[in-house]
Amino acid sequence: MKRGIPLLIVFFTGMIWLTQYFIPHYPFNKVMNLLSDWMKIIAAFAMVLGILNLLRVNFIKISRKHYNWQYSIILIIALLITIGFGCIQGITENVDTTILVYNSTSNEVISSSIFVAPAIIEGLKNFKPISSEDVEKDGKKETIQKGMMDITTKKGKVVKYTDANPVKRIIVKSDNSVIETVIVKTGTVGHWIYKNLIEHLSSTMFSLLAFFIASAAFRAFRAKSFEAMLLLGSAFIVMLGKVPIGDVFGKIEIHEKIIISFPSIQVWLMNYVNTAGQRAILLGAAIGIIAISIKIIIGLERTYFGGE
Amino acid sequence: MNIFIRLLKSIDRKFIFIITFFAVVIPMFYPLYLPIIPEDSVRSIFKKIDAIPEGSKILMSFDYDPASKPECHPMAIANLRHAFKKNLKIVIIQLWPFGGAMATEAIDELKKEFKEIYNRDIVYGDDYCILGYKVGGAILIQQSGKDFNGTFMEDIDGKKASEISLTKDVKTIKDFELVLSYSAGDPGIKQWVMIVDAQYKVPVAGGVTAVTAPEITPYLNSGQLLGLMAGLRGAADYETLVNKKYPPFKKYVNSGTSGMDPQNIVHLMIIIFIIIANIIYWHDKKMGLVR
Repeated sequence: MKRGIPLLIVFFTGMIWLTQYFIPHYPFNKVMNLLSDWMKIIAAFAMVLGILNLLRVNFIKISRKHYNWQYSIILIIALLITIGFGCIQGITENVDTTILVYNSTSNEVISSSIFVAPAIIEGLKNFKPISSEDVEKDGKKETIQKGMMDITTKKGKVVKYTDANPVKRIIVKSDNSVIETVIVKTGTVGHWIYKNLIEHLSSTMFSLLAFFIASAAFRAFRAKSFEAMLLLGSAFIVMLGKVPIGDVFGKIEIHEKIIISFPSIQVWLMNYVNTAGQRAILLGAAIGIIAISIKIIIGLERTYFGGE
Repeated sequence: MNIFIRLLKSIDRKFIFIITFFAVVIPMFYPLYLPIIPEDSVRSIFKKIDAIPEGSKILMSFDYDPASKPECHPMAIANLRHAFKKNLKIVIIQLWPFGGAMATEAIDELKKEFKEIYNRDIVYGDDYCILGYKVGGAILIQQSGKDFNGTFMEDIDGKKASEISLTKDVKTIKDFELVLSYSAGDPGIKQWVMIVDAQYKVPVAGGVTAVTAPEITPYLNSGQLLGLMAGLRGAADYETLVNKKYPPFKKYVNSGTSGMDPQNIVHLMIIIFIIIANIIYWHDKKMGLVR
């Protein structure tokens, strides 16, 4: 009973899923939609499960003071901060745009959109100039003042903008009126974490690959056998053929359609030799998946139950 | 000879790292300006986008994150440039959590370019929209073939897809002329090909990181994939085609094209290092030092 019910669930689910590919009509298509919804929900729960497991593993590491247990503390703190702020504020960057014509003599807003005008006036009063420069726009000389100001957004948050932020600029025209373009970006903490930490740390990790590949190629890539020599030769051709410098080494034209150069050999290697190998792997894997799926559906394969 | 071999043997990891650093940095300041001849697999994407009638909808799936940004981002920007110039309506989705942020960043960059060159505003909701992230991967693709707005219900700001002018009329994935996926792994272009091309007959193209290109090439050869941009070279190829047709874009950042110079030198450098390593190996073998 303990195993019988799960086996029956797996059997019926598997059969329904399989059947709808061959009979994409009522009721199988409806059941398929329902199962797809369930899968999305399960996928979301799997993420929660993953987070809980990560916490459990790292708490154990800290409590038992395993090697480098201090990093686990940082991981847990970072995880909780990111999840916490993400749940409270969201992770997106809220962007609102308004074009405002403002007369600085009369302190009057001539036209505005999106924002409630008094809020902007209030913001402009707090404007603290940092730098200014003269620019020519459409043949006219204009002074662009850059500075710092507090803006009360329509959502009631006070956001500070600085000179360093290119989204804010004020153009003071010669008649003392101000044309202001304000693109308000109210960044959340989640967005800040993404923009200032995740993006740069991820890019750094990726960039390091070039160094490790160069070092690993020097230390490990030896023509020890005929197969290794073939691999080495292919690597040289693909590396040169994939970059424009490959064309510099010239080409030999045997026939109108047969041109031998690093790029052309590279294309041949990728399209024929690589494809042949990849297809063999893909077909092998697909047959393996079909076999294991049938075994799971009919209950021969039960390792997914876990345990001994 | 022995001194030469001893000298080669003295090359250690730190030396390789320093050389790699300079091989990357120096060409950035002193570009080689080598001509880039676009590959056929990239030309086919350009031709397809060029042939799509103005005002048609295309779907772009940003399936990468900051780690693969250096490779995938330039190709996405190049495609967006072309599509916006052609006045195509772009619906962006994300199968990876950071895809939306990547798309926002790319479009922010292009908004400035279009304003400066054509005095044109790229308007959210009319020219493009970015739908929010959902977990599910292949299941989402499968469902979007039957009910697009039911699958991707909200945009990144929480606005309902059925209320956005660009997506309100979209019923299924078949309403798009083309699906483009910028993919750094799973879920990504492979799933788009297997589901959207195979089951719904909507052409699929896109870009992948160089390391995943060999895995995706069989789909290109079978015709299931309309075109493929592989790594930074793929981006450089597309930028070349766009810049040839629309020269004003030349003066803006073309990361793919500018990245070709460091890649030229680093590839050459790696080949030289491998040759050196093999000279040492063959010498040691001759001397009986290794088997």
